[in-house]
Amino acid sequence: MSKIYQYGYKLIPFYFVILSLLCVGLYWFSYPIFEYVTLNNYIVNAPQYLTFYSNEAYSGFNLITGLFLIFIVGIHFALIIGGSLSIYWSEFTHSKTRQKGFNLIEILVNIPFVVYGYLLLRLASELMHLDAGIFRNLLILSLTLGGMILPKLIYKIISILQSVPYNQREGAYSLGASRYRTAIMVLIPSQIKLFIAAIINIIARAFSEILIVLLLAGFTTDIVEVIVTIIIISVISTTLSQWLKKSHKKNERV
Amino acid sequence: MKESNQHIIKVEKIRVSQGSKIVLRDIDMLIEDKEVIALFGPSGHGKAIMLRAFNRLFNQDLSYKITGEIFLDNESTANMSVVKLRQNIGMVFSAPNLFSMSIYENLALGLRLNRITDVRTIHQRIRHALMEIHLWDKFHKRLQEPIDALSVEEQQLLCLARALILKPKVILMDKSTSCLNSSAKSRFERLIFELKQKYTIIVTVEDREQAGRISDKVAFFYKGQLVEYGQTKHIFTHPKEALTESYITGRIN
Repeated sequence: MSKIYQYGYKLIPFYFVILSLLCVGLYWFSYPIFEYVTLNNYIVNAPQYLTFYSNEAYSGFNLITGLFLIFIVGIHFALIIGGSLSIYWSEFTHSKTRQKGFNLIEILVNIPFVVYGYLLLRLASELMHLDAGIFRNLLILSLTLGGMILPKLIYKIISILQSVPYNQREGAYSLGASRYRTAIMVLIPSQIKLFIAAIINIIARAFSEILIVLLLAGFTTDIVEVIVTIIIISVISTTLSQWLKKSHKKNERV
Repeated sequence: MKESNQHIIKVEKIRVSQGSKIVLRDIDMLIEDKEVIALFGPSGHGKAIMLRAFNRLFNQDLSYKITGEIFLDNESTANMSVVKLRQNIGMVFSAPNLFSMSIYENLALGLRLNRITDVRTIHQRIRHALMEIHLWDKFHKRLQEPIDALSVEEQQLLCLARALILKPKVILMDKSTSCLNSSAKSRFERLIFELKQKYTIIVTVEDREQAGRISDKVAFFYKGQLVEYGQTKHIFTHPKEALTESYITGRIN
């Protein structure tokens, strides 16, 4: 196994050659379609993806850029609100209050993202009077994405901030830092790797959960079906995680 | 008024309480410039709380209440902003608490927190502070390295440098040598002796012997009260109070 680590890098050029051959092959096999549409039209204008709510169609380019935009705006929304809330919660409150609140957030975190997502989507579209085309408004979608990852994000940021010992905070306070500046200039930079990992983890989980629900509920908007699938998923995932934890503990004892 | 001008710190009736429990009772002290003051006594009798009363660095969760006044250069610290107070009174803790960043970032952080962001000034200050503790030759090429590879002694010395960078008048040390081995401890004590030329240093010590070695004046704390305060030589040879004598001779612990 160690030889693979030692000499594996010599295989990298071959890997790229195979990859480029594959690309050429794919283009070769799919060439006939470009007799009807140009490549530019295929990427930008071709009607490939139908939306669920209307009969209009969008190309792959629109879909990807739209997703990217939703992602960026949603993350910013979540980080600004969730970050400030969790810094307040972990730095400015008394330890007893903090512990009680932490237990409350723990309950909220165990509810799947999709529940928040559905509720927020409904709420936002009601408030903005956009019943007809809710899925076409990128702002609502990005706010929904940001809002539904909020509880998990707050939970993660608080637990990361709390994992820094008081000793280090004291060091920053003794240099004349306020609590807010301690959090911004000391705690977050020293734990930045954990923060990035947590955010990526949360986003990935949110996307995967939505996709699972979409797949199992079969692209329906029937609330009953969606709720039933959510319950099934949560039961399965909690039992799985419990079982995993138990087996992990057993291994530890040995 | 003339008398108070000679003193850098004047403590007036400091009383610290936690809930209904009184931790410190009516402490009065006068601390002269460029001296080493050692606070000593049995553990849990109010030395560390007294030390933290100077820069008001209490754990907020434990809800200490402090009454009375401390004057730094005839200015009441109660009216001073925390930033200015802690710029003037630096602190080194019992264990090294550097942040997990590079050495340069750690040292520059104190200046950045006080809104000094000019790179040249930061570099100059770092150079000056490291030269004061004789670490410039060792570290001037290693400033960008992470702190994980350093020994405990080096880390503790860097903590001292971090406090010196803000050019404080007073340095507080909360059992700073307790994490070091015996040879490192003696080096650190020699450094305290050198720093005495420029700064007023207030330390809490682990044992009586260390208080005798490093300090010009000692203050003996027992059950939250300042029993005796005076010249080290005088107190160790002719203590006025019976309590002090019995602690120095080892009859109470």
